[in-house]
Amino acid sequence: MTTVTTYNHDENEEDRLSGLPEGILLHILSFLTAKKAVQTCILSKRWNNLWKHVPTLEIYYSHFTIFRSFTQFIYQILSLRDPSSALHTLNIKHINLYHLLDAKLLKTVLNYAVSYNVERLQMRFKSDIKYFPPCLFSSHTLKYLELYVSHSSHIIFPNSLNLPELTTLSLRHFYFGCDGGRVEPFSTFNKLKNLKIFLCSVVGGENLFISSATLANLIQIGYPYLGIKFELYTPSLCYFEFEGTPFQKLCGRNNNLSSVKHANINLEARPIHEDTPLALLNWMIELANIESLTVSLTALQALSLVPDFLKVKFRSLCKLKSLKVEADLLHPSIPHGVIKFLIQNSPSAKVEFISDID
Amino acid sequence: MAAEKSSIKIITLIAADGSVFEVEPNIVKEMKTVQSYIDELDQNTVSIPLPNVFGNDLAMIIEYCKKHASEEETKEAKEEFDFEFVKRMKSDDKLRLLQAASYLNMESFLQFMAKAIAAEIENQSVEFVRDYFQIESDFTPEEEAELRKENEWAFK
Repeated sequence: MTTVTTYNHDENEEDRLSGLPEGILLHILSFLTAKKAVQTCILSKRWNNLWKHVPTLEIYYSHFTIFRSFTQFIYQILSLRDPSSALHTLNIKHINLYHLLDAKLLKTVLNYAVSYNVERLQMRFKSDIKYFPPCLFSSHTLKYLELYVSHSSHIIFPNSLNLPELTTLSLRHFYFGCDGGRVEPFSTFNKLKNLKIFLCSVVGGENLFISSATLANLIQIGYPYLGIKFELYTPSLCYFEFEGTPFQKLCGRNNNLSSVKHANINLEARPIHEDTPLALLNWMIELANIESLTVSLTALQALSLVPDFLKVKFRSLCKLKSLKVEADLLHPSIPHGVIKFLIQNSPSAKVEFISDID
Repeated sequence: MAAEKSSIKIITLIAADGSVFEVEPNIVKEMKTVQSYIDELDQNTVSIPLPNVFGNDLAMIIEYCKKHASEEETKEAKEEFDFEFVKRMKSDDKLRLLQAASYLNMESFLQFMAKAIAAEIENQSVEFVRDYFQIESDFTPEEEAELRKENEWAFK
């Protein structure tokens, strides 16, 4: 089926993949990092300009010898790509202690991506900008947005944005700000399904309102002691994962979390903060309908510190089918009675101990 | 689903070398080339010749489709399968399967093969990649040197 390979000087020179249309070669190129993809230009005349049409750009700092080569590459590839070829995915990873990505480069990259109707944008970088170039937040095509900035950055995530197609948002080390009103940055995303908030803070220590009619999966990872205060207004939430310290109830007034089916709650901070036991007990009450629960050993220990714990009337977790405890399997010092307490309304729930070392 | 659209129960696929495979309709769901053919028919069985795919390759593709169409298999088991599936293949197998995937119009299998091929050449030299695809350079050494210089920004 393959005709290999006699090179001749007319236009139909054939290599092993010549039977495949350009679109399929582009499939292969779209899984290469951008630097490697550009390097295919010297393979043969047929390959010379293929890279200019690749619809994905993955540019990693670690593939360059010096910072200047990395930034130069970004400018070059953007200016030399074929202007009529689509760009679906842009992924820039700049993990570097010493160099900042400057505002001009960021603006160039984001303007380019938005003007090409990018659908998937991932950026990990260090910068001293305070606000994101506003062009990003006017994309009508963006479905997946992951912005990880370094911990020393102080970038404010705007409060009301218009990203109508956005389904997945992951943020790390951002500050949420308010414009005088509630800090409610996600309520305008009408298709948001997945939200990951990783080590973020709220300006002025205000409550973060996570409001979304469509949100199904939420991962909230905070610092062990400095977690942010948040309230959920998420009627479609199905999966809730939390790492950090619980401070207050999950839900605001007149709301509930009856839609949540799976929860994963991981407390690592020791000593356990004095407010944690009651806050956590309230969460167990609020997460009334969950079918599977994964908890860290510390969470169980915190629960056991609720005053008169064994006398608490508990009517929640009736639908629980699976309880998993992440613990050191050699020394699982589970506080007395706490597992029995959690499954008292669902005695047939399966209880498992899983290793906390991944 | 295919089974609801037509009444076909068993599909016989005939590879280029004449080997014959009998599969259920849900196995060929991803093969759009086959699918478009059987959607039109109103009978219990059908034989489809696939003159561009060899028996060995078709066997592998069917194995992949069976695993991925199964509702009993977990996501992890499918990932594990994918990993082993690629591991036992030589470069030539991947390129032939990529071509077969293109011919059968199997979108996710095509992506899977393209990704596997990309992973194999990602960290390799230009010479390795030429060899891999059996490309004979039609650049003179001077032209290649000139190109490298022109695109120096991508080689640093």
